Amino acid sequence: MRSTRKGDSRRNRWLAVLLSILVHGGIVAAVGWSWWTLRAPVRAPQQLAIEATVVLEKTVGAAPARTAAAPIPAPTPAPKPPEPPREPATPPVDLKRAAEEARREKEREAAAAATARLEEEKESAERNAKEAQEQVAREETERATRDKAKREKELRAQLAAEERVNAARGSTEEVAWLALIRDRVTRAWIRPPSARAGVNCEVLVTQVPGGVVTGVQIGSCNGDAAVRESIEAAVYRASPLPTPTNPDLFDRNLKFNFHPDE
Amino acid sequence: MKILWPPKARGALILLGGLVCAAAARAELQIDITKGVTDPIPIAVVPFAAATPPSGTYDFAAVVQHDLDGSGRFKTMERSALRVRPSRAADVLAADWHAEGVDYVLVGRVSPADGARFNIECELINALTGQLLGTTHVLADPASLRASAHRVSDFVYEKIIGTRGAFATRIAYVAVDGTAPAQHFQLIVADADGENSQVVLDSRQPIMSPAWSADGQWLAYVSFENRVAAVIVQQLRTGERRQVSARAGVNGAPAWSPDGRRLALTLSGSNGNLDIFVLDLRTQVLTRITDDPAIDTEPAWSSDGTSLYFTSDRSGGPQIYRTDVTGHQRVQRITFGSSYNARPRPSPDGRSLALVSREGSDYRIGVQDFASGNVRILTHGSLDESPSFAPNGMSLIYAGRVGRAAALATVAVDGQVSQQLKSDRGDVREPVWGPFVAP
Repeated sequence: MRSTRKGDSRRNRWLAVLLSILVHGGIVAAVGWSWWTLRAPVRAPQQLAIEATVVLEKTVGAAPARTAAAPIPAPTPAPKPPEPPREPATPPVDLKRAAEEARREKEREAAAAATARLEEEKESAERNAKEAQEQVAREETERATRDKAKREKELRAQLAAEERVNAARGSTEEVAWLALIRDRVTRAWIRPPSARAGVNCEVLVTQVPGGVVTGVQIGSCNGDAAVRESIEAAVYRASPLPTPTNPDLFDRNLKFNFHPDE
Repeated sequence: MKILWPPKARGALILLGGLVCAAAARAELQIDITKGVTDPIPIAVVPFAAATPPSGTYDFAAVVQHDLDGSGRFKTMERSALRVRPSRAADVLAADWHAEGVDYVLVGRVSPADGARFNIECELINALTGQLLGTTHVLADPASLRASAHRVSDFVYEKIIGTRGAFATRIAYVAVDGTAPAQHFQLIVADADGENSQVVLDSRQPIMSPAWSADGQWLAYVSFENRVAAVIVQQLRTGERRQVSARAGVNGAPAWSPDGRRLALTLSGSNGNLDIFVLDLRTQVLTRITDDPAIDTEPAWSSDGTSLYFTSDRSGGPQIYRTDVTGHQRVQRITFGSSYNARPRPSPDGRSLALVSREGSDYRIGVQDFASGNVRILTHGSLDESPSFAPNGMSLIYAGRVGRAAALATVAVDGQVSQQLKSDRGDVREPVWGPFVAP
C-alpha cells in the first residue's frame, strides 16, 4: 500500500504546504474583513451627528455664531464689528469642515494604517506558517535520516547475527544442542497412562539465556488434563535446559512436539 | 488525518517490515519428544493441621503418604525432611519446595463437622509452576478415618496421573492358618493396601475362589463347610448368606456377571467332566456354556458381559479361550505363547488380559494385549498366581511366595513397581480386587 503512493509523496507534501498557506491566508483575510465590516457602521453615526450640527447651524442661523461671536461684536463700534463676526461666523463652519476633513483624513489614514498593519500581520503570519512548515519538514527529514541510519545499523547487526545462526543451523553443534534438550525433557517427562500412541501435543516454551524456562504454553493437544499437566511439569522439571556451545544458536522460543510412539 | 512520512523514512519502514516478516518466517526450533519415563513423581505430603483430639489428630497424611508410595507412581518426601509444615496453599512457597526436589505439595487441615465427624480439606499445589492443581473436601466418619484418607489419596492420584485412584477400594482373600488336619480357613476383606482387615467367614473347612459382585456389596465363594463343595453368596454389610449351587460333583470358580444378575460357574455334574455354566441368580436357571470332554474352568466375564474367558486343556496343555455367552457359543483360543496359560482376568478397559503363564519352570503373572497378542510378564517369582486387576486397571494384585509362605503383592501393569502387602494372617491366597464403591 505504502509503496504505491511513494511517487506522489513530494507533490503531496508541497501541495500540503501550499494548501496550508492558503488556509492560513484565508483565515487572516476573513478576520480582517470582518473587523472592517464591523467598524464601518460604528463610523456612520458619527458622520450623521456631525451633519446634524451642520443642519442646525443653517436653520437657526446665528445660533452657533451667537454663541461664537456674541461676546465680541455687541458693545464695540459698528464698521469694524461686522467683519470680525463674519470672519468668525464662517470659520466655525470651515473649522468644523476642516476638522471634519482632518478627522476623516485621520480616519482614512488610520484605516489605511490598519489595512497596512493587517497586511503586514497577514504576511508575517504567512511567513511564520511557512517557516514553521519548513522547520517541521526539515526536522522530519533529519529525524528520518537519523532513524533510517539507526534502523539500518540494527538491521545489519540482526542480519549478521542471522547469517551466523543460519550458518550454524543444522550444524552438528545445533543438532547436538537440541539432542541434549530432547534427552533432558524425555527424562523429565513422567508419562501418565493416557499418554499413548496417537497423542500429539504442541508446546511452546520460552527460555532465557542460561536455559531457565520462563513459560510453557500448550498449543494444539489431543491429550487429557493429565497429559497436559505431565508435559508442563516435564518442561519445568527439565529447567534449566542445556545451553548451546555457540551462543548464537540460542533461541528464546522452542517448540516441542510430544507424541508418544507407543 | 493523513500522516505523510518522508519518503526515505517510508523506505526504511518497508525494509524493516520485510525483515520482521523474514525473521518470523524463520524455522522455529522444534524438538520431538516420543518417549518418557515412569519414574515416581516426587511429592510432599505435609501433615494436616489437626483439629481437636482425639479423632481430629488421626494422622491422615501418613495414610496418604503410604498409599502414594505404594502405588509406585509417587515418591513422597520423608516427613523428617520437611522444613516447614504449611496447611494452606497460600502458605506454600512453591519455589522453596521445587528447590527441595519436590514437584507437588499436598497440604490439608482437619476441622470438626457435624456430630463426631470431621472435614478434611486438602489443596494440591504444583511446585514447578506454583499453581493450585486442585482442592478436595472429604467428610470423615470416626469409624472410617482410614477410608477417608484413601479418598484423599484417590484425589491426588487422579489429579496428577489422570486415572481414578483405587486406594479407597477393598480386596478379598483367603488366609490359611496351621497345617492339616488342624487347618483354619478365613475369608478376609481389607483395604486395598492390605490394612484394616476383617474376617468375613471363619471355617475349619476349605474356602476357595472368592469373587466380588459388581456393586461391591456381595462376595461369592466356594465353601466346603458341609464337607462337599458349595457356592455361597454373602452380603458383606449384613452377613446374609445364600447357597446358590451345591450340585453333585464340583461346584467351583464363581464369577459375577457385570450386571450382577448371573454367576458363571464350573460344574462337573455326576460324570466329573468340568464345563462352564451360567446360573441366573433370580430364576435359578442354569445354562451350559461349554461342552467338551476336556477340563474347562476358571471363567471370567468380559467387561461388557457378552463373553467369557476360561481355561481349557482341550488342546493338550492349559490355554485360555473365549466364548460368547449369548450367541452361538463359538469358542476361540486366545493364548499361544507358552505351554501353560491359565487363570484369565480381562482388564477393566477390555484391552488386555491378565493371566498366569509358565516360563521355564516358573509360573508368573503376565498381561496379554488383545490388539497385538503380545504377552508381557510382570512378575519374577517362581509360583505367582491368581492375578486380579485393580478397578482402575493400573495394577494387579496376586499371590506370590516369600520363602515357603504365600504373600500378597501388587504390581503395576507396566511392570515398573511391585509391592508386597503386609499380612499377619499366615498363608494367604486368591486375592481379588473389589470394584469402585461410592463414598
